[in-house]
Amino acid sequence: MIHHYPKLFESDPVQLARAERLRDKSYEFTQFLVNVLGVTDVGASFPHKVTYHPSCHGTRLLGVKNEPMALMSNVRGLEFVPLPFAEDCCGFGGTFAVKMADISGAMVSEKVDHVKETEAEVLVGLDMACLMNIAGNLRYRGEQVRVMHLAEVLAEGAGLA
Amino acid sequence: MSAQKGRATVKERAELALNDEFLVKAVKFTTERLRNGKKNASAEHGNWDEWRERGRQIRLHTIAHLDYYLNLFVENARANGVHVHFADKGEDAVAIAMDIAQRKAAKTVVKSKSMVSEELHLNHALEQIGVEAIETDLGEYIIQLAGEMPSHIVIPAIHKNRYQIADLLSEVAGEKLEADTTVLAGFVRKKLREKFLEADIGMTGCNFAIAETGSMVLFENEGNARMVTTVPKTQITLMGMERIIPSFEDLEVMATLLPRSATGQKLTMYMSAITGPKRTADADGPEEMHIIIVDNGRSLQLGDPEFQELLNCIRCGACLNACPVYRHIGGHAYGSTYSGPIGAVLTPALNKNVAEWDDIANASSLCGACYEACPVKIPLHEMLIYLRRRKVETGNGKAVETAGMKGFAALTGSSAAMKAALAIGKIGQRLVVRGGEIRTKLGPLKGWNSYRVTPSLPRRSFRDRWEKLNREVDADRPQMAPDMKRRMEQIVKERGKGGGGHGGH
Repeated sequence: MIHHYPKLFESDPVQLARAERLRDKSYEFTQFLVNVLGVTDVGASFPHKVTYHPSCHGTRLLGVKNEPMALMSNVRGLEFVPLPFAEDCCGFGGTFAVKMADISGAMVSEKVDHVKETEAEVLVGLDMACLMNIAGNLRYRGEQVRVMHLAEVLAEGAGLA
Repeated sequence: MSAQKGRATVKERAELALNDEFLVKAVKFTTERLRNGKKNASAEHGNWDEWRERGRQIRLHTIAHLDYYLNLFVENARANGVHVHFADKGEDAVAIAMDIAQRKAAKTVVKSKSMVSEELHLNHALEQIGVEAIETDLGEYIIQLAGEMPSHIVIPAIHKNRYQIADLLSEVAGEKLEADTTVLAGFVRKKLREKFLEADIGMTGCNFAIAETGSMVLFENEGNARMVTTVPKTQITLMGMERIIPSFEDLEVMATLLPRSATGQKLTMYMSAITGPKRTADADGPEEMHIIIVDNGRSLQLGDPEFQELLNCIRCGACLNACPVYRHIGGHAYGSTYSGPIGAVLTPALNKNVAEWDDIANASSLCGACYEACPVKIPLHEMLIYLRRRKVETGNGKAVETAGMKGFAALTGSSAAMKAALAIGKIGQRLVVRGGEIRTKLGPLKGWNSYRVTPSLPRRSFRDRWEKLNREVDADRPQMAPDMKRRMEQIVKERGKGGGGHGGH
């Protein structure tokens, strides 16, 4: 979102400059850890079977692809299982989930089917909206899969939470 | 199409599709095959993003100088002996085609696949003057028999499985045909041979029109377009005015992008370039050739900074195959000739009537898979937002939504208002929260909670904890290490240049 602000202020040079400054110093969590801090191993240990949903806006708009993988690959005991059709949208899409509830519902149901296929204990992601959506469907169906932000995995694995 | 009649909105039509198990299964099966094919073919070819960028540049350049290249194309086509016609509106194009058919006293027209023809509903018009129009592309033939619209740009009958197709063809055959693809294709092949031989006119679409030579180029897999363009004495080609590319050199790039993006093929089985009618030394080909150049709303995009790139589309269907919404609802739910992400933008843009931009632009989660799949990098996910915005800006938005957005802006625009709202929410939610979850399907929660549960507001939110957290962080904030600082400055510098891996076009 912040990375789209400059577009909104194209005709206002003062605000545009501010929007660009904000954009330039804003980072997605894993991009900040890996690309700025240069950290790929936080010393965490998380002995669980984990799958990962790469969010559309994270991967396609922000270009977050390798960073979360680098971080997860260095977590002790973490068993990574790839999610089938991982790149498919989970169906959240903001107001889409309400306006086109049935289409969105079909999308999130399919996403959860794929999560179940992996038999993972934990679904990890980087976008709270996707996670709320997927967790909502998992709970609705009475599934016990934990849904966590990667930051939570790292914090729990490092004994911080 | 018949089942879709009377269903006015995307939502209503989508509901029909979502409950059609056969349709969803058939669409998923084929789109998966196509998108995997594309992924493999583009990876195998290598440097795919550079090819895409090259394709985009060719399309941008051509459309920016469309008047020049169109003129050049028409001059060259005429010099080759082609009759070139311009049609401003769809009905003009239909009238021109009917006029030719009547002049030739045509009884039958064989057609190869053309989306423009579908856009014009030409078959219907020809039938009205007693001309039989026969689709010869297998998929088009099937949907013609079913009386439907194509539900995919490249695979018109994608929504049907082989059992449904066997039923349709059995009716034509007058006997029960086995639901075996070889048997079915064999039957159609035999049936169509007769039609090719007796047809008075062959009608085609046009994948690309080459300005420098006045040639038209067709990509196909079944050989039917070859038959259509060689057997009948008269050929009519329908061509969207934006199909132009400057030269055969540019065709090389397009021929690299189109089949790979459409079906994952390196090249289609047949690629024909036709430069004028039959010459004396030619063994076959039409004696008379017409090209009808169709505008029908296309020129309205010229000069529109938000939608001009729509004219860059090469109709490969990759955005449909990548789209998670299309995957679940198929093409007919979009309610128009063009479906999927490109259809959701193209249909309203061609009509240019903002008030009638129904909810078609809302049928997207804006995930960007369409843009990622597009071989000429059309930012469809952004165009969908432009459509939504224009509808609201012209006063055609929904009052409830506008009020909701204003309310949301008021809350999120003020820290105090947000804090107050959360406090009220925390009290209010006690009525509906059970075990940290909200499951009621009342009011605005109905859509969401029909498929999910809603998390409750936490007892202590991040905002509540922030003051303390901030103090803790401030207390032992270390100096940033020099190498970190360097990396950060480097990233900021790159972002300033427009890099940084976001947006990306």
